[in-house]
Amino acid sequence: MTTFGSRRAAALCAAGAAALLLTACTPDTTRGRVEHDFAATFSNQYAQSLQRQGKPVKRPRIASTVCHSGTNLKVDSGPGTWSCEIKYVGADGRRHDDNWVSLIDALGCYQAFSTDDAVRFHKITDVYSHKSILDPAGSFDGCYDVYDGRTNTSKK
Amino acid sequence: MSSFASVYGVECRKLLAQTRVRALMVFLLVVPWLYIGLILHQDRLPLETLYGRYLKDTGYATPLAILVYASQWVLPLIAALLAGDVFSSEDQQGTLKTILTRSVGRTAVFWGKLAAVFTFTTIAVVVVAASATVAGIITVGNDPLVDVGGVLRPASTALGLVAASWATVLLPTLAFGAIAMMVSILTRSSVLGVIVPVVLGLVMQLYTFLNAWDTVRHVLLGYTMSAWRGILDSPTYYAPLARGLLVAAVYLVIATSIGFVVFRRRDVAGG
Repeated sequence: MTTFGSRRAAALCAAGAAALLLTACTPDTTRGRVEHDFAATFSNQYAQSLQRQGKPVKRPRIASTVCHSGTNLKVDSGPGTWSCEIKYVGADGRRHDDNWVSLIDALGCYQAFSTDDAVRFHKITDVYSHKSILDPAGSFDGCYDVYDGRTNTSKK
Repeated sequence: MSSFASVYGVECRKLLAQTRVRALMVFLLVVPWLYIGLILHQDRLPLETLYGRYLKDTGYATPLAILVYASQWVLPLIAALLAGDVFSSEDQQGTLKTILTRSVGRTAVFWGKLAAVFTFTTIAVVVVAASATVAGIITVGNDPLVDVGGVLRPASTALGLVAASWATVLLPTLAFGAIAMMVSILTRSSVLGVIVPVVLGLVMQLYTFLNAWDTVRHVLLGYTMSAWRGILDSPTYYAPLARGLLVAAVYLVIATSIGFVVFRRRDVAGG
């Protein structure tokens, strides 16, 4: 191949790579991923909270989880502050309608906590270590797979 | 003994004799103990850091919280300090001409130096990971670990998860080392050999935290450095890690290839 041909091939490859980068624009943080992971992790953390208090482990029966981005006003995508409303029936049989805040970073991880400070900073005594720890049912960290198929970003 | 083994042995001894390398190892050994010591002597926890909330609950949170910090700038710095002047120091001291006219070939010199640097980089990563784990277990306790999916993992499993998480950052760290060596060969400058990878790491880190194109973020080494979170989730997922390791391998191969070609073609007779 001539020098001119090599340069043209390299330019075409570079242009193709740039086009691929610009067009492959599915956001990492989507409403679908946030809602799914928040609900699943909350369920695990709730059960873990009971387990560490020495109570019978029972998962909450989650009725609905709705999360919206407070940072992106056009679509529910991207890192930033998200609000989540979760409706569930707890281990005590009572219905709950709780509001949470999720601070989501660009890497697909978040810190979630209840908007009720009494719940957020509630401490329990771990029956295993006998230490006083933050109640996992009031605040927790989570991460989600940015390559899964939950790409819904609808605001509705 | 083969030429490669001779060069490897000599380069390992040279690295071990450097005060900077010894100081780095001591620093990596001590810092986790200072970190968890300071955390235990204050009321607040670094809740904004992944695993920061668990630092007083389980010893296994210490190496994971330190991994979050290390992956941002410490690991590129380690790689740059170890690899950034391995070739350029020969230029500056005028010893390159001597070693390249002796019985070992350029290929053996290149791969011997590369292997020595990668060995020490691996040791450095193992030192900080092991020190952080031991510091956490001794000062906080051998308690179960909560994964990022909210599931309590027994201590026996937690140790394996911590080790696996640290193992995943080894390849991107070596890629930073390969970049440092490439810059060291291209510029013949030890300063640039150390600074360029660190600056590159910081730029990648800055981009990672910008709300910009996610696809670009996925091809940065900083993203690979955080892909370990998938193996600590319930259910576990490996796609970010698999793609990230591929990205790191591409960086490593390209930087090493450029360095090798330039080093092979270097005109030592002309200076």
